[in-house]
Amino acid sequence: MRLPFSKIGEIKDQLITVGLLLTAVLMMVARNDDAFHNLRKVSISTLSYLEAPLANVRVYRTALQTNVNLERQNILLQDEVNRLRSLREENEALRSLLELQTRSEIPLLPVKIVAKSLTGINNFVTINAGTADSVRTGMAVVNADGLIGQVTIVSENYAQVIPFFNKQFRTSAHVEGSRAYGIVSWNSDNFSELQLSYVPETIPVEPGMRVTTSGTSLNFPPNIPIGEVIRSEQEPGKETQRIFIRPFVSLFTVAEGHVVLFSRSEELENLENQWRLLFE
Amino acid sequence: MNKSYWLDILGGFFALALQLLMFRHLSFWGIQPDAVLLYLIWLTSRQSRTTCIIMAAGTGLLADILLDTWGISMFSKTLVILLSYKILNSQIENILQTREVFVIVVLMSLLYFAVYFLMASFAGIYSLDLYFWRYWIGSSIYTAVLGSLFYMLRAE
Repeated sequence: MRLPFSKIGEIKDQLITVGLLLTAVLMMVARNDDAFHNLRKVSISTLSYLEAPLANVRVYRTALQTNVNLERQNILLQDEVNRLRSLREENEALRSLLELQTRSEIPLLPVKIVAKSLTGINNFVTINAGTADSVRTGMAVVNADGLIGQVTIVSENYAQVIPFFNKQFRTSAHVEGSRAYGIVSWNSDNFSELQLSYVPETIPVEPGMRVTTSGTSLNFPPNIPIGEVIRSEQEPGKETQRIFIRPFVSLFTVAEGHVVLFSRSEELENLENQWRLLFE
Repeated sequence: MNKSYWLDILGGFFALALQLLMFRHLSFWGIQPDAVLLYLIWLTSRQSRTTCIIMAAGTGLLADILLDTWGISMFSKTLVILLSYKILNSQIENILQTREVFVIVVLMSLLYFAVYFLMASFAGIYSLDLYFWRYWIGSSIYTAVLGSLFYMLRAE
């Protein structure tokens, strides 16, 4: 029996397309696999090298507005510093009475944003610091206004950050003045608000209250500002409420930031791994 | 491979570079044109369907690698070129007016961006709730306006 090779020739394009489409689907499905990890690092570095000159344009374009904002913040901060100075003296006196140790400060690494994609599809930000600057996966990226995102992939000189407007972003947070914790995430239907979930409905929440990181995450130190409460609503059928937050940081204009060089506690991490081994 | 193939491959790289370094930053309200799609539409008038499909997959793959969208551009561009090659290629004989070019590009873009957003939603990196209509129609019209401008410049 002769094989109909002439027929195969007629549908050659369709066969090639099917092969290419299957390859594309495989890439979509396996994009988070370890096999792609190194390739993603290379792609981040390549795009960052290409976009680095444009990042300077972005920095200069936003410099005037940043300057005005900083001046305004400076006045407010000077006033706050004066009040805090007197409070510190009082605090030190009280601490010495209670024999408490002074908290250590967490070092910050200044970085420039060299690439940014906020189209709604896989939003990301790339910064010009990597393993060579002691940046590690999981570290927080902040600016003077508050939290920007979390480092997810690190190459030698660059790192990719998932900003809070990314479907995969999650962090533990709480409303200032209460001890109720929740998880901040983005529900991906608009670029103006985040939501804080799992907060008990008995906790009173008012618009204007500040939301900060809780410190119960292994990656983020406590008290990094995230945003302010806009409104809250009861979750139907649950004893929790959903709180909507307006972020302090404008991702569309941000051009610089700082990486919080907050290293995970190995002991806590080991405990978490042991727990996972036991129950997952 | 003859010289024209090499020139077309070089053109593909050039369109991709333009898209990454220029048109990606010329967005407003999140709407962006796609210069690579315009290049592929133009390529259908010069090359065979097989070549166009391979070029669509190649440029799509490179865009995916550089923009961390892994497979979405490659899938959308390859599928759209396969489906529309015959219609596009049949227009070679005609001398088109700018408005005809606009209509062709807008239809192609609508098809392309619909596949693109659906695949991005399938991959879990985009929610169709997020300004879908604005992105879909806006990006298609933006791409068509840009295509018409290029066509007018070429005609000049």
